[in-house]
Amino acid sequence: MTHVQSNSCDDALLIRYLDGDLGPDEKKGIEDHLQRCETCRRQLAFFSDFSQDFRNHVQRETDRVDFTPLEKEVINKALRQRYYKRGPSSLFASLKFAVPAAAVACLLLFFSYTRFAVDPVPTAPSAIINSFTGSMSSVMIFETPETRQTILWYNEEPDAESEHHAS
Amino acid sequence: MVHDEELILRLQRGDEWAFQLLVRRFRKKIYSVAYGITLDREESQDIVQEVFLQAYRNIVGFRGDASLSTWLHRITVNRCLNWKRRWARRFKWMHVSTDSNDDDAPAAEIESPLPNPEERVADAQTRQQIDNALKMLPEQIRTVFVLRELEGLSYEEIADVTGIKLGTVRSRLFHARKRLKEILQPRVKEEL
Repeated sequence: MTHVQSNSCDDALLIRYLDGDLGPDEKKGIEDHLQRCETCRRQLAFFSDFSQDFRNHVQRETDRVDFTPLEKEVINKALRQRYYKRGPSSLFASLKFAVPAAAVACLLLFFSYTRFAVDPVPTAPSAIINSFTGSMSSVMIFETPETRQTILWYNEEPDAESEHHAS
Repeated sequence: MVHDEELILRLQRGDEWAFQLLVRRFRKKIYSVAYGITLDREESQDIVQEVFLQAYRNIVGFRGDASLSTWLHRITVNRCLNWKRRWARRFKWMHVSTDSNDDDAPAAEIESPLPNPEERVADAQTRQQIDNALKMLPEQIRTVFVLRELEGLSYEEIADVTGIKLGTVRSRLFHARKRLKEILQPRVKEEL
């Protein structure tokens, strides 16, 4: 513990006194000295005034800032940061469920489409227009609403050999 | 009122609301310290953002060895000193006038709620003097001075935040004031 010579000026102690960094004995010593030393009193007043001016200056600067957009930006950045921090592993984890779900959905869509959406082949009535049957061939002509078909077939003569086998 | 301990727990759980609360609670404090050290509005705002983002990233590893406030101060001081190093390389401060002539001061500096124009000018001059004087302090000394004057931290707390010894805090504060007195000598004489 340092005992202050109450008749000597000590800037270092004065500053520590200003900052409340002195023990009780040192504090008492410097206060005794201040009562007698006008130079130190003025010095102390100067430091106190400067500190006050500095605090006021910074306070005013702080009051001028609109913190709302800054706050929003910080929060947005933090949330983005959290998303990126999760990284590809979380992306793959979500894909583990998303890919099979998408596959099932595609299959359902495909079957629904083929079953309900695509028009089946039209089964409109057809009509036989004409037919001929001759000794060698037959012809049949018929129409559907969209086409006209001709079917032609031949009558085969059974050959002698096959008739012979048949008998 | 959510206490810091609860706030930390919520932050560690990734509670978005807790982060919002953290920002609201400490934004002015951090800005003040950043401005005191950098004496630059825009940079101080950037530093505030960086401090909160770093806190958000690292809160999971926060073990409560120091208070939340001390921890944030530590991040802020580191960010500010990094800022100074970054800008020192670009010679930014070479362009800042260090004489106390206020003729070149931006018009915004004179904006003040004070009704009397003379008081406004005097006030702006005082602020300019303060800025100029502080800019002439070495960054390490200014940092200690700012933590003491703006945040009212004790010498022990300053040592904790800055990672220097208690004796170094004392000597830096002593040199800060001694240097400020030398710089502002004309003002001292006027007052004396």
